[in-house]
Amino acid sequence: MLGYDFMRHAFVGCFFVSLLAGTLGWFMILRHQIFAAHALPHIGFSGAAAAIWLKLSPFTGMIVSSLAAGLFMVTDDRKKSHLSLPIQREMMTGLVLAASLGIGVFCLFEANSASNQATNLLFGDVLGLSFGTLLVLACVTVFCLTMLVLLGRPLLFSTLAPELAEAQGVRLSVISYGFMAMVALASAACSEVAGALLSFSLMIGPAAAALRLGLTPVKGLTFSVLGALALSWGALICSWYTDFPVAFLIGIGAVGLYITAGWLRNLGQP
Amino acid sequence: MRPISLLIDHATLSVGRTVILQDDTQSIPLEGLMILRGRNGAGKTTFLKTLLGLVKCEAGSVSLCFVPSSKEKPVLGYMPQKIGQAALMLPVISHVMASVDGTRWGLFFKRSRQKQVMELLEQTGVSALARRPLGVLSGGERQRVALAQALAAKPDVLILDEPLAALDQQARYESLALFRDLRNRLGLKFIMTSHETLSLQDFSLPVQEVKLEKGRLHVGI
Repeated sequence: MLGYDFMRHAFVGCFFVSLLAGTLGWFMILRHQIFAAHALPHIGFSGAAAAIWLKLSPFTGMIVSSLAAGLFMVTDDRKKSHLSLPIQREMMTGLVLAASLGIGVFCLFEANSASNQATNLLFGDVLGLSFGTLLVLACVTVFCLTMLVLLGRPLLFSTLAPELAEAQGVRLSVISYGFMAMVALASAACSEVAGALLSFSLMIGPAAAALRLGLTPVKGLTFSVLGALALSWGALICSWYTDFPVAFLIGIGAVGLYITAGWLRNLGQP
Repeated sequence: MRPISLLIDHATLSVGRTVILQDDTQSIPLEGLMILRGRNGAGKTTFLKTLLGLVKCEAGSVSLCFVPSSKEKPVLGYMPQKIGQAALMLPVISHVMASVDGTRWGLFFKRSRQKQVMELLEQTGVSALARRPLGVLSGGERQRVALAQALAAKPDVLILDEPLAALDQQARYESLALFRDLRNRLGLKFIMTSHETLSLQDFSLPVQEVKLEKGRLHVGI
């Protein structure tokens, strides 16, 4: 299995993506931004479709569109009270999502693109990762994790106690923009592996399982990263032996992980 | 325990159409517990947020200062009205740990903070709940966790927005007793909003009542 370049690339790509998905997904759930985690890869799909039409790399289109949409979604954060913020964000996310899907369909129509290109965007093409794409994934991973290391404490503080954090001088808008930029980049990276439709599984599945187990932040983040790694590498190995699509295996595995976490939690309770 | 005053200097403050302060000027020495009253929508929460520096006056200023005045400002702790609503699945200890040095850059895991967090939980009487998820706690218990979070910055003054709302009689009594203990042990001063009629004679806490009305802060109502 590891004698082939495309399989080695796939394992390395999944490693980078798991680091991103596991850490950022955990914060996204805590910050009530699950809908954004669902929407951003779809928006990335539209960007990729536009890139195909403009004869650019689909991955570049994915990164640019996810980043623009992510930053747009938090534009209004500063003006809203903490109570109305989640509702405002969901409305904004829904509107951006619907508009971008429409643009994506239009771009594919104008590009007169072959349907397999659209399928790759929607369901991922982990076995087709080039060395160049791996380099971009590595850069995105290093950038996002460095940002996360720098922002770690104020990000967690403002996530758990936003009003207290603001009162003590944490600039919530800087944290929101910085975090959303990381998430947008991460979701574009996840889409390369699991596709626009299923990258949600990789970002939210392991993180949701970690939170269901009631783990502390350090343990939860570690569990989430290892869970994402187990899911993506496990899916690659299963796919090698069964020929099932990787994205399908990741999607099913994420649900399985979440159910298992609930079962384990029930076992641990008196 | 340095004396602290609430300083209102030609302050004009409003929220929407409600005028909270209209060119008001006064200096009020803080004693133990200052209770801020006013009808619904009078702007009590906005007034507290102005003290915290989160809302700016249209003119003048509202601040807390040491007496005699110095460049150093009192450290303020804050407990908002809506508490314990985020990340209910995380254990209590994680919530308080996030508040310790939460404003600094960098990563959040440091074993040395655990002792400090346990002391904070001890001070608010919920150390036994440290490993339990926040979501399973009662309203009164969550409030004590929020208080521990607010104490993490080692404040001189604690600003509490409606800390007694939604608590039953017994829980209110326990909260006031906790405020008294914190004052005695840490020398803290409190400013809190409240709608409730409180019988405070059992608490040996110096109490000042002030009311926001007609563009002024009225003392000794």
